[in-house]
Amino acid sequence: MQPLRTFPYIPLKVPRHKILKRLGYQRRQNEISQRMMAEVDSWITYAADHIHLKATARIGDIHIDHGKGTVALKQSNTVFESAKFTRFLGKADQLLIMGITGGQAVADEIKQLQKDKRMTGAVIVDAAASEIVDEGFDWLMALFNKELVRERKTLKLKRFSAGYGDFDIRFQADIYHILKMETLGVAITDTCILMPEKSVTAFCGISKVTGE
Amino acid sequence: MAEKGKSILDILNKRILILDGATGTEMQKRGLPPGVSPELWSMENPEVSADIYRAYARAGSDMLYTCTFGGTPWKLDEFGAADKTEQINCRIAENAVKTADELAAREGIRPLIVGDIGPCGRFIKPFGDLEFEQAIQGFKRQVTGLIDAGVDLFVIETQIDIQESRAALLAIKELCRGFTMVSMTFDETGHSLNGTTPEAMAVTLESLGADVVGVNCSTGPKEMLDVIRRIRKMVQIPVMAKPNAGMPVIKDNETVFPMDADEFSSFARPFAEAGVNIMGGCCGTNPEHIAKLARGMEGLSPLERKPVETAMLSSATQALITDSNSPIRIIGERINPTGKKILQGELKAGNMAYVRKLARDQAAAGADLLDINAGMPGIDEKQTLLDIISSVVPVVNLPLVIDSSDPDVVEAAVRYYPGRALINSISAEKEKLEKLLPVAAKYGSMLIVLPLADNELPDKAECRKELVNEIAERAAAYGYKNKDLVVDGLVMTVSSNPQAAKETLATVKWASEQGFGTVLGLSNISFGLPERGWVNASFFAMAAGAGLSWAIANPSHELLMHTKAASDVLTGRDRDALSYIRRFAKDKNAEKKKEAPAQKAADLPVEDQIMAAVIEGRREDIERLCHQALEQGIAPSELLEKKMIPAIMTVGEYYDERKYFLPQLIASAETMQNGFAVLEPALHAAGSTEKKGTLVFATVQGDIHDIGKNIVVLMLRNFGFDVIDLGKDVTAEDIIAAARTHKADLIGLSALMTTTMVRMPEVIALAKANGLTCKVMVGGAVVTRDWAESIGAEYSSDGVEAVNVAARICTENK
Repeated sequence: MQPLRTFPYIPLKVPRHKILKRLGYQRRQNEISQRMMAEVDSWITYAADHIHLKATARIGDIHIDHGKGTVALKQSNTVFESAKFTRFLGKADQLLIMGITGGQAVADEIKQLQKDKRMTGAVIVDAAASEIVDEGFDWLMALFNKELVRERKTLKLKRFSAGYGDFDIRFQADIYHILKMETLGVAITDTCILMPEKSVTAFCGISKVTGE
Repeated sequence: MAEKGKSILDILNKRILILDGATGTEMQKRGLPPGVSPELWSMENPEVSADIYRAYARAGSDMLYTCTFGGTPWKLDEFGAADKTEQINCRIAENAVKTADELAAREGIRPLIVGDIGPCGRFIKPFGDLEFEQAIQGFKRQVTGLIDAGVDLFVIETQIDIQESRAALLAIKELCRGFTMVSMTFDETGHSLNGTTPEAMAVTLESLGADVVGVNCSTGPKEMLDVIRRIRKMVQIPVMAKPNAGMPVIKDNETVFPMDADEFSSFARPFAEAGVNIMGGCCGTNPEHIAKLARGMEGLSPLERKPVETAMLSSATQALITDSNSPIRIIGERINPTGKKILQGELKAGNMAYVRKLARDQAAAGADLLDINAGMPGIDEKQTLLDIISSVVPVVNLPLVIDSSDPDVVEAAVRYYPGRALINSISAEKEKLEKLLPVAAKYGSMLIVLPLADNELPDKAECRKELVNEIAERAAAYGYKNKDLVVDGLVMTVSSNPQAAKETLATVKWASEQGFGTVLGLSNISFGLPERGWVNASFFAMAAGAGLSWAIANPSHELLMHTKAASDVLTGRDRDALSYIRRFAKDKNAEKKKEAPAQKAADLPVEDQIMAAVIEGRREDIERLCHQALEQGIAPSELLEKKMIPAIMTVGEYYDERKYFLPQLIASAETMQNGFAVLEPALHAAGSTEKKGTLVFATVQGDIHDIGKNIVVLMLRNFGFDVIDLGKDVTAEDIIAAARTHKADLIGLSALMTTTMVRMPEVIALAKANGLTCKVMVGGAVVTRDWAESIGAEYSSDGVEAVNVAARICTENK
């Protein structure tokens, strides 16, 4: 396993279209007043104001057993069992493991808005936070990809997470420890939920550039 | 080193120079094991590195990068070697210099040795946690080693963070006068990973003293060409390019760089025509690529570099170009605590949220730059200004105007600011001039020139011109041209001096004719007069006619911004009046959309206004309307049954038809909820509070996500169900107990995780074991209709469906 890397400030990118899409917006079909759209936009900005994206990530060598449907992280005792994950990784020989959080403040705001019965705000901030955190992954992957290309390696541009398909969410606990997510102020519950909300983990496969 | 730089520039005027290709992969081919520091390995295997240097030199490279890409103390620290940063860099670079000297002696070729500085792997404030000064100090350690080895010049390469590029460049410039090339990496959208555009990079780094700017890595030559053209337009200095051999692709089950040497070298002419002065290869290239590129460049001459005659500023992400054809630039004035009590309080408390809001608001209102000022008693002005920069830079793309009367504060701010700033201001006051000019020149800032001298506030334009000329002459000694200076016309109050406007306008006219930029702090003109907006706007229009290029103003001031838009048209700065037409077309549409529903609703009887408010989700109106309806004697049950419930049902239909999306559905539900709260006491009094059914809702044990459940509960309550909401992370026992106590018609369960949805059948089993016959409805992100059926539960995908399911079940029960 390579050393853990910490990213205490990830630049925020606010993907307005993705946020609107997540909320069900369809430009051709929806009828929305300017007043309502302005409110949606102001809650999106509000979400961004309360998000502090930070992450940890590390790269590990892996051994994939397609027959058994397992992915073993070398130099550790961790073996992920998931046929879907092995198919996702294909011929990858390394794994980029990432954990990211939007921070406590935005999770608190979502709770408070619900408590104050301001559900419109809560729903929009919740959706915005999810998408902004997701953009954080894109940023991390772009960064790693730039570095990996110099080592004649390339990063698979799709990502996979615990809980998808047959990849048991319980592996989240292993990932949490590998990434030392407690250093980001993230905790994990007995049911493998990361706290605060809007904290997530993901994997990407890394392959060697084999030809000239 | 300064002499060497001059001779490099001389060569660059005559021909296009060739760089080397990829080094890391060449080392891998020669045995660099995976996971090992290339720098340490290179130091231990000097002959291997020398072999690579020779291969590229023989292929035609005029410049060879030392194998010190990862030679910063932070990178070396990953291999426990940070304490030897200077020695490692020195040894590697000495080997390169020695190899070049041997080549000269034996083969008559003497490539220039370029001390290579790569990214440090950390992000620097305001984009990261590494202190800017610490970054400079770290880079100085690497630079010291490279200088000791006798490198000919430097390259700061593969940069994604403009602040890191600045730190490394300052480190070099503060240690020596070495010729320095800086290249950043841009993706196919033309942005660095941190959002910097090629234009912003070019302006920021040229003004800070880079000798060459350019691009390397990230894309192949095809995608890089346009970036080179964009940079070339912005700078007077040479431009470099070092593209990859394309980006890795999967071919026949192998991941490969797709571009062979022939295809790569076919880009030599297009790059020369785009204005490149130095070109090599990055990832995926090898000596063959470089040899063919060198041959491709034979006979091609560099384009002539013409002086850039426009004023250029930059933020960390964007450049702002201003010349006599540009619209008048508005400098947002609101981040200045003078006379602003709220801002003063927030700055004193160290709270920057309000500053960020002011920055965003001004940007949205049309400001082109933001003035930032922290001059007030009771705070540390320098630290506060740095904090403002840290807060504002990540949230707006506009360049900043550093506004302080203290030269030390200005120096700290322009040193830290990750762009090319405008300093507000410099005057002919002797001490300030002497202190501020070298500072401004070092950091490449533009200057607002205030025609003031010690104890002299000239009220005549003639005296102001003399002072401006005096300052411009002094500034020219530091390399400033008139385009880099913005003359403040000195706005005095017209109510105390009737000639004040005339003298200011004369100063503006003269300065703009001399090629200076011009700026006015507009509002001072009307001090002491009533209805000041008219005076300010008229003065603005007159100043625009005199050639004004910048104005310090509040961009939220509508009259002023409209006047600016009109002035831009009348002075030929808004070609075809496009911005003007767009501005008012936008405003007209906005008014239409804003006014139409409210106007329409206001004409309706109050009960219909209530209906419209629910449908439109107007939470701010509903309570007033409900009170109004009750005062008019309308029965609350009638309002609820005949207006509000039909309204919310209409909203549900709109949602199903996708005419509405989720926020509209929720806004209407909230409106209904607020209206119901007003009606509820009256409904109780009238005995008309019969519920459609009793429902117990919970997010299951172990799950803490409850926003979806809360939406469903809100919808159900609006439709007249009595919902007992037990919250989140609720045990099966508590759910069953509540269902029994409240004689529930339906239990609603929510779960977001696969680990917690398994609790749902447990609740169903426990209900059966306790003899409860009520049905269970389940929902949540991971729950599917099939899963619900498999455990014998009802399913709903959203709040609207939940209402329908609950209504059906409660009707069946009755």
